[in-house]
Amino acid sequence: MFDLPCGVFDMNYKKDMAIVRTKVHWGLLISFLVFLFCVPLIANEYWITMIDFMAISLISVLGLNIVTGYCGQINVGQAAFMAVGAYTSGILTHHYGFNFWIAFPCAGLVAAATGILFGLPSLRLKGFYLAMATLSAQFIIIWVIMRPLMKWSGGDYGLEVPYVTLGNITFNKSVNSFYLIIPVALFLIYLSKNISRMRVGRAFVAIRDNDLAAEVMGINIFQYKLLAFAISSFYAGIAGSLLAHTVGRASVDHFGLMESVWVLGMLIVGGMGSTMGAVFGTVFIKVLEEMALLLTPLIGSLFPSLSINVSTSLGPITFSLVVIFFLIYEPRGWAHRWEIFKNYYRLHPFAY
Amino acid sequence: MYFFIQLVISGLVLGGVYALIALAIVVIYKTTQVFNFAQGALMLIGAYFCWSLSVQFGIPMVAGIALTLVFSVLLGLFVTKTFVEPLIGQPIISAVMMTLVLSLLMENVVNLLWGGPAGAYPQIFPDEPIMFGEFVISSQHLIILVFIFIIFGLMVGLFKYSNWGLQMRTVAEDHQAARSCGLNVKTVFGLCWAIAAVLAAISGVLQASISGVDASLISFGLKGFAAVLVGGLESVGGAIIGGLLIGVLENLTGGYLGSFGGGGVKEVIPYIILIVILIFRPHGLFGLHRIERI
Repeated sequence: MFDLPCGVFDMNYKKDMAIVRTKVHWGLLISFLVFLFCVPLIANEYWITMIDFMAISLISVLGLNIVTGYCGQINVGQAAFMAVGAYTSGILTHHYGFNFWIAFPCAGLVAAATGILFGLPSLRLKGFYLAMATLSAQFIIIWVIMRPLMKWSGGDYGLEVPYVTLGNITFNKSVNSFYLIIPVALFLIYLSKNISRMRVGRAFVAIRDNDLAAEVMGINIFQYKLLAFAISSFYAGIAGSLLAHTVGRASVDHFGLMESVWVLGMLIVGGMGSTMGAVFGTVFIKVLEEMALLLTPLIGSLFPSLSINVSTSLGPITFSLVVIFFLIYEPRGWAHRWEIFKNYYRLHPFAY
Repeated sequence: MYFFIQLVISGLVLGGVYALIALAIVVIYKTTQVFNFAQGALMLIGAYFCWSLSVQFGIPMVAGIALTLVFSVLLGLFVTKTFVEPLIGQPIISAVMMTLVLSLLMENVVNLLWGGPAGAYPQIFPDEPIMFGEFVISSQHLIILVFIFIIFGLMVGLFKYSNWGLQMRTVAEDHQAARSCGLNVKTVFGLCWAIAAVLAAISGVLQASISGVDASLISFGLKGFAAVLVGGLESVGGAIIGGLLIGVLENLTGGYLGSFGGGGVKEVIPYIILIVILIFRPHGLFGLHRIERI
């Protein structure tokens, strides 16, 4: 339930369905976008790189939000689908000399096909069983990339991936990549928001809330579950491709099981079933990870008896504690808090 | 044929470890309806704790193992109280996420405290080859296998004949009914997690005494799920058969298909079996067949 600010009445259907509803809203949105695109002018290299990676994770989390948040199918293998995307565009550009702009959508499509393949068990399985199936998918996909496809993927060494070029611009620096990744991410946020409001999105929510009732209402569960997996993996593939082309190489180190857990954790902290939630969760966790890294030298000097692994362990430990905190105290995540806050300030002097 | 039987024999030892893990997962699932993805991490903690006591502090191995078991009971109770109980009644995704994140947390705490792979244990069991006709088995492996069967016997005895076992079976049957009989369901949850942690520590120490103490122990917890699902989720007996089956199959794959598809197929075969079982027979060999069309 959400309230509109005072004096805003929806006079027609178009207004009722609008995402941006008031003038203040428009003002905030435009100034945020202007600010976002000006960030490279004020921030230094380090922070821009961080924002790049944040946006890539965001794309992956948005995809997971569609399959897990909206459709309720637990997916513990999102990172493997990212790997599919990364290696697809990597192999196409490296070995076959394709242009990035052709390989990029291909990465998404191949990942989507893989997603459908490993989404097939979801037709018979629910809950924990499906979590197991996607967990196996994680290991099987990585193995297939590493071993049988070693000739193309380079196995343990990873794969050199050329940087993206457009005209005579090469996206090899974090500032350049920023202007490649951010527009894609913004477009995908918009797309995800709209998918959730379309017939497809409402069907997903119906399946999540009660699959039997959804079937009775005439929703083809078979088709929609696979569609959810396909969209989710498409997002993952796009994210993986962007990651490979930003870093300049594809390596399975980026796509382990723990990466999948991170993506799930970001979704939980943000709030499942909400596009804004995915954004909040990703930004929150990524910023927290950076803060944990900043604290590393301090902790290392306070407890010199701890091993040298403080820097690699502190991030995951902070992350897992935060996710546990959210699971116990706020399972609906930041998105829910944001709704409460919005309602509060819109009604401010009154409580109703 | 010789090669085949030799592979089966060494596979049985590996399978015994999987069976212990599967047993722990089944015990937790039956009472709390939660899949414990953190079983591998519990193994890791047990193995490192025991290693730390016996190698770093020089406590005799037997005392070290006894202390590890006590520590595991406390760890199990702590995990239940802090992380599992607050999630009663939450959706499944919360439980999945909680155990996955717990696994990440424990893995990194171990990494922080001990850092990197530790060495080997002092020799627990004598390691001499024993001949059965023409087949060779290391005495260490044989003792471990016998030991695992003894633990299984003890566990089955505990479930069947003790008061605690009766309580656990009651809770597994129906939470509401158990409560109306005057059982404290949460206490039984704690008991189950403590048993799982003890089994994890035992399997961790046994496996580590074969392969050394390092972070790869964590993958055993996940492969144990293949054993659980082959045997059937609700079946204690299925856990041991599933475990042995997965262990033997993994070893056979390693022996015969070692170089298939560029190698490493041994590591993924449990997951491939898992996904095949999930698609064709989700209730496993001995599990309950619930009719739920989706």
